[in-house]
Amino acid sequence: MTAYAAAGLALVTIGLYATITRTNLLQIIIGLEIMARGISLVFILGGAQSGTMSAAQSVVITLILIEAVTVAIALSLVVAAYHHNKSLSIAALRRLKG
Amino acid sequence: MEVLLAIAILSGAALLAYVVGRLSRSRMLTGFIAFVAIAGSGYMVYQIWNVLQDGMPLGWPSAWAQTRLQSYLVANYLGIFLAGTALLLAALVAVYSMRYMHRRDIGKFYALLLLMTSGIVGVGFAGDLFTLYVLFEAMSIASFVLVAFEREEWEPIEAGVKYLVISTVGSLLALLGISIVFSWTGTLDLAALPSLLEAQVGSAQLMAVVALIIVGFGVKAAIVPMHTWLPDAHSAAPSGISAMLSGIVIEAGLITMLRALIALGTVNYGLLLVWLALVTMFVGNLIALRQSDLKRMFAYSSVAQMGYIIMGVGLALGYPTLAGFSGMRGALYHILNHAVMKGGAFLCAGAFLWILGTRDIRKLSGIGRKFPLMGICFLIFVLALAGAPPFNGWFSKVLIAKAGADVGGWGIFMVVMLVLNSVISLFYYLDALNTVVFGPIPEDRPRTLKPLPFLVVLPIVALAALSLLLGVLPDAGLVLVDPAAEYVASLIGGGVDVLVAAGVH
Repeated sequence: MTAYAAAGLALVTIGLYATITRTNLLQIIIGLEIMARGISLVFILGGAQSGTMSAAQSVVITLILIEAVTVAIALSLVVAAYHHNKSLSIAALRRLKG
Repeated sequence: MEVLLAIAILSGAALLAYVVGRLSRSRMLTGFIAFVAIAGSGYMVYQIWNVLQDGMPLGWPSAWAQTRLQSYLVANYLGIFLAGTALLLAALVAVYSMRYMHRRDIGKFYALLLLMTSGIVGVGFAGDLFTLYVLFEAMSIASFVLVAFEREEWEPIEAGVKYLVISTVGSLLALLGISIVFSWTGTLDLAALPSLLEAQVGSAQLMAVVALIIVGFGVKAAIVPMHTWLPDAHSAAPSGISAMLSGIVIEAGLITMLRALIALGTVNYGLLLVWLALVTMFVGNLIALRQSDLKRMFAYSSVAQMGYIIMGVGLALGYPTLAGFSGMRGALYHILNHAVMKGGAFLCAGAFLWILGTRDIRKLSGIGRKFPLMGICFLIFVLALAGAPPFNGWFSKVLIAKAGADVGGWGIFMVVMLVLNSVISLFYYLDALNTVVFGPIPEDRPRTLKPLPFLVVLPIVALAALSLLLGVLPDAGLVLVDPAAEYVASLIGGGVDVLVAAGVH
């Protein structure tokens, strides 16, 4: 059980690290996805531990749905940003100041 | 069932608005559908209010539905307060956008507006942590798209990407906290969690989850240093959406945070919130001082106003006594006031943007005299934001300050800081007012300007009248605020008994 918990938390940490350090918008979105997978793992672990697997399953399925919607919107924004800039780097996202 | 309907009417009408908007391309018709849906949802919220007042159980169509649904959505006064405020502002924004938005994909706009409103209405009523998260995300996802709605411009795209990434990282961190709670207890029920956690989990571990929740939902509540997305998003969004974002979405983020924190039980994080609030109000006010963009200035002023609100919440959580409780009343009242005055201020800025096509305060010089009605409304909103009686905003600030003064100790220091911040904020509020309403009219401005449509003026005047009403008769707002504050007090323990003893009830 501890191994699963550690794996889940490790995934979240890796995802968070990716979103903070990467400069490519697509890699940042991949980082978000990795975080969400880590959290799903913690939910499944919790369900297995406390014998409430049905609740954990419904939570994880809903979570996958929410993530899919978020990523779809994120990708559409990235496409729009690419059309404006011809670049996927977050260095291009520095025009708004103040 | 009423609670479910209040949310379902909005999300159902979102589909209808999309289809109608797509087929007819009529802004008036689509906007009317949105308005009717919001009114219908408001009627349901009124029904919930009646049921709670009578002390009767909510109606369910069958026992089957009741056993499966009743723990997910729970009727309560905090939810009624949040839903009432959100629906009021959303209805006015729906009317405003009928003429203000001049785009072909109007169905998408109203569908997303309704979806966002349904999320806000839902977070107040959610009965377990995951439902809370799902409705919070429904609100967030709709707002991502709305911020980046005008995607042929660069500004909304950049603001949208920043907002989406920062906000999603935040809500995932909060969800991590929720998942850890689930792995400890095997349940997510808000009502059952406090006692379970107290029995099973040490306070150090609980503090880690509290930190995750504060950081996670604090992103949406614009707590400094998690506020960086806000000025970009609020100034780049269409003006009606700016009003919704500043007026109710960030406050809904705070209420989400509050509900999750209360479920975690007895760890004392109230003072932590008070210090965060102090930083938030200073950063918001000081950066607002050097803004030349009207909407950006209002966005930073929202950060500062969130600081006032969080200070009230923090005082109430840190000192769960009658004295601290005044902070909760003040905070909730300030949420209502902020929805009215900041919503109105953003709609006003939008009206100026419609006339002159600029948000630069210097270029707007004297516009308030050219359009006297708008000038008067702008004056009301700005003075209300600055906390000047007889406009709303002063009473809730006084309640928060009173809480600080009554609890003593650090509370006194916080009151001094609150007053200092109000003085700092006067500089930029009065500067904006002085330029926009009383400033000289530039030579190069055309003599004849685009007239404002009636449907743009109407919501602004309605909000200005409401601002004046709540300022002159502060007790009027307490009808909604007091039961909500009492509900929160009953959750943090001991509050209601203290209140009844003091005769506030």
